[in-house]
Amino acid sequence: MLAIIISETGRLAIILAASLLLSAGLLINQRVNRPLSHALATMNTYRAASSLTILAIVLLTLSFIQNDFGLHTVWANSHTDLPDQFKLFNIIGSPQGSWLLWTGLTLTQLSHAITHLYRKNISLDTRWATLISFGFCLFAITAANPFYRIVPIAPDNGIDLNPLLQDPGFLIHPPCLYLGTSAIIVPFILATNHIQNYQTQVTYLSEYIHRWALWCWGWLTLGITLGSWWAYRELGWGGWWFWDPVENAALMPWLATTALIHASSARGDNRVWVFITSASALLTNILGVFITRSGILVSVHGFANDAHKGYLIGLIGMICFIGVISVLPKIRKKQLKLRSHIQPQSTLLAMTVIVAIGTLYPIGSAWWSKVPLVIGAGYFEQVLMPFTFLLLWSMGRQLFSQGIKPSYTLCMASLGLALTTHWYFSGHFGINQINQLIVVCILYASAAHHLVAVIRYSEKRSMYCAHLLIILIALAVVCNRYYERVGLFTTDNGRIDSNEWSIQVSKPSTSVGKNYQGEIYSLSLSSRNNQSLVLYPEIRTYYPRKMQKSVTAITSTLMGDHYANIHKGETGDLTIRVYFKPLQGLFWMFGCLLGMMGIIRSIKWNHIVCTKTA
Amino acid sequence: MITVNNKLINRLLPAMKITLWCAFGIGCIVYGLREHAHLFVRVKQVIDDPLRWENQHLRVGGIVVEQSIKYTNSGMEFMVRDHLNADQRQLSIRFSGIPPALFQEGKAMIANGQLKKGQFFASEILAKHDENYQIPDMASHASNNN
Repeated sequence: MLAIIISETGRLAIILAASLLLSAGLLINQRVNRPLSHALATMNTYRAASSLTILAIVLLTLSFIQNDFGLHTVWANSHTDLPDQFKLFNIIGSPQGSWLLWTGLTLTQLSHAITHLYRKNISLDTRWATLISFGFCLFAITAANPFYRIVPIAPDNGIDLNPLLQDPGFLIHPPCLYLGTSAIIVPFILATNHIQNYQTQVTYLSEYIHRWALWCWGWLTLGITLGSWWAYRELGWGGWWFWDPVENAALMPWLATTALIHASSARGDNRVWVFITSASALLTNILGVFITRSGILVSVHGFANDAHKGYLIGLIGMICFIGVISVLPKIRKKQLKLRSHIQPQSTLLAMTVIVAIGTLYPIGSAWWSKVPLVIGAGYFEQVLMPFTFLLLWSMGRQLFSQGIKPSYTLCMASLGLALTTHWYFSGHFGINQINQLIVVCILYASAAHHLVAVIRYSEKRSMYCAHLLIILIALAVVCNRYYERVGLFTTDNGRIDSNEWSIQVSKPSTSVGKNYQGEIYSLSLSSRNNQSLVLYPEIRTYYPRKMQKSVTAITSTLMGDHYANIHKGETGDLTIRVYFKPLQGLFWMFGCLLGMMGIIRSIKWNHIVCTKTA
Repeated sequence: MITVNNKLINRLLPAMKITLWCAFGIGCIVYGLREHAHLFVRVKQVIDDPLRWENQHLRVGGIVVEQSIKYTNSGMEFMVRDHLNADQRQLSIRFSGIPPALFQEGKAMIANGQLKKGQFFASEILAKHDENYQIPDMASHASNNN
C-alpha cells in the first residue's frame, strides 16, 4: 500500500509540475518588459516546478530501494539481490528514471538562474524556456513515464540491472553528463535575452553567460572523461573512444560549449557570437538526446530501440529550432560585424558540424537512397585532424601575441623529450615513424611554451592552464595511439610464449558477490624488457540475467596501464587479451582536472564568502 | 584609383577567405565520407547476392554461429548467420585483429571489411553490449510476426 502511495504521489508531482508550467506559459506575461508581479510569479512557478520534480526523483529512488516491482521501471532494472549502492543510483540506469533526473536538473538550474537575475532586477524573457521545459515534463508523463504500474499482479522479482552497468564508473558519469547537458538551456535563454536587450546591465549578463558556459562545459568534460573511463574498464575492447553515435551525442555539445566559452570571453560586443554558439550548443544537445533515446541509429550503447518515442523529442527539438529562428530577426544590422572570421569559436563550430554530419549521414542516406550506410571511425579522425591543428595553431598565436616568443632551448628540449618518449615506448627508430615523432615533438613544444605562460602571467592564468591541459591530453592520446601494444592468445594448458610477452595462467579461485559468482584467474605476465607483474582478471556470471561478464584487470602506473581480460570458451580453453596502454592514467587525470577547473571557475567564490560573512 | 582598389579588396578579401575556408571544410567532409562510408548489410543479403557486394566496403551484421570460432596462425575464422532463426545459411569471416571482449559465440556482432570471393575479410569487429539488441530492421520484422 505504501509503495502505491509513494509511486502515485510521484506521478502526481510530475503532472503538477507540467500543469504549472503550462498554466504559467498561458497566463503569465513572460516578456522582458513585464510588470514586476509577473516576474515574481514566473520565478515562483519555476521554483515550485523544480521542487516537485525533485520530489518525484526522491520518490522514484525510494521505490527502487523498496523493491517495488509493480513499477515497470523498477521491474526492468532492479532485482532483490542487486547491491544497495546500485539501487540507490538505479534512477540513472533506467531510461525513464534518467529522463526524470534530466527534467529535474533542467528545471532546478533554470529556476536558479531566474531567481538570481530577479534579485539583480533583471527580468528574463522566459517564454521559450517554459515551452521547452513543459515539453520535457510532458515526455516524462507520457512516453517515458517512470511510474507506470504493471497491472494486475506485480511480479515477485525484477530482471536486474544490466551487469555492464554495475560498475562504479557507471554510477558517476551519467549524473555529471546530465548536470552539464541540462544546464545548456540556461546560457541559451540568457543569450536570447542578451541579444534583444539593449539597455540594462549588459556587462553583467555577458559575464553571467560566461560563468554558465564554464559550468556546463566543466561538467560535460568531467562526464565525458568518466564515461570513457567506464567504457575502457567495462566494455573490454581496450579502447575508450569509439565514435559511436551516443558518444558523439556528448561530444557535439562539448565542442559547441567550448566555442561558447571562447565567444563569451571575448571583449566588446560579442552578442551575435554568443547567441550563435549557445544556440548550436542547445540544438546539438537536443539532437544528442534524440539520438540516444529514439534508437534511430545503431549504437553500442543507448536506450530505447523503438523509434516512436523519439518523435516527441523531435517535437521538442523543433520547438528549440523555432525558438532560435524567432530570435534571428531581432539581431540588429550593426551587430553583424563578426570581426575576424577564423576565430577559435568558428573552428570549434566547424568541428561540431563535422561530427554532426558524420553522425547523421546514415539517417540521411537511408532516407534518400534506401541503402543503409555506416560511417567508420576513420572519417572523424581524418576530417577532424586538420581542424585540431588549426586550433593548436591559434593557441600558439594567442601565446605569441601575448609576448611569449618561440624559444630555441624549449624547442630543442622538447625534441629531446620526444625522442626519449619514443625510445621508451617503442624501443626502435624506423623511417616510417618520423611523422609520429614530429607530432609528439610539436605537442611537447607547445606544452612547454604554455607552461611558461602559466608561470609568467597571472592575469589569464586559468586560460593558459586549460590550454596546457588540453595539449597534455592530446599528447596522452597521441602516445596512447602510437605506442599501444596488443596481444590476443588462446591456451588450453595455461602457458603462453610470444615474442613480446610470456604469460602463465593459474587455476581460478572462486568469488561470490550478491548477485553473481565469479572465477578469478591470476595471470603472471612478463614482458620483453623483463618487467613482470601479476594481473587478476575475472569472469563473472550474473544469475538474474544469466549473463557473463569479463571483469578486466588493470594495473596503472604513471607510464601506462597493463590491461588484461579473459574469456572461457565452450570447451574450457581460455582466450586472453593483454594490452599495454601508454599514458592512459595521465589521460584520465588531466581530463578530470580540466573538468573540475571549469566547474570551480564558474562559481563565484568571493560572492559566496561575502554573503556568509555579511 | 588606388583607394578604389583598396576598398574593393577590403570588401572582397573577407568574402574570399570565407569561401576558401568553407570549400576546405566541405572538401574534407566529402573526402572523408567517400573514404569511410560503409554499406550496412545483413548476412542474408550477402548470401543471397554475393556478386553485388564483391570488393565493396561493407559492414555485416549477424549472429556468430556456436562453436565456429577457430584460431589460425594468421588470426581467426568464424561463421555468422542471419538474425532470423529460420535462416541457417552461413557466411565465413576471417579476421586478424583483436575482437572485443563482448564478441562471443551465439551473440550478435558487426564486422567491417570487404567481401572477396565469397569470404568476408574483416578489418574490424564490433559487438553490442545489450543482449536484447536487434538491428532496427529486424525489430520491426519480429513484431510483425507476433
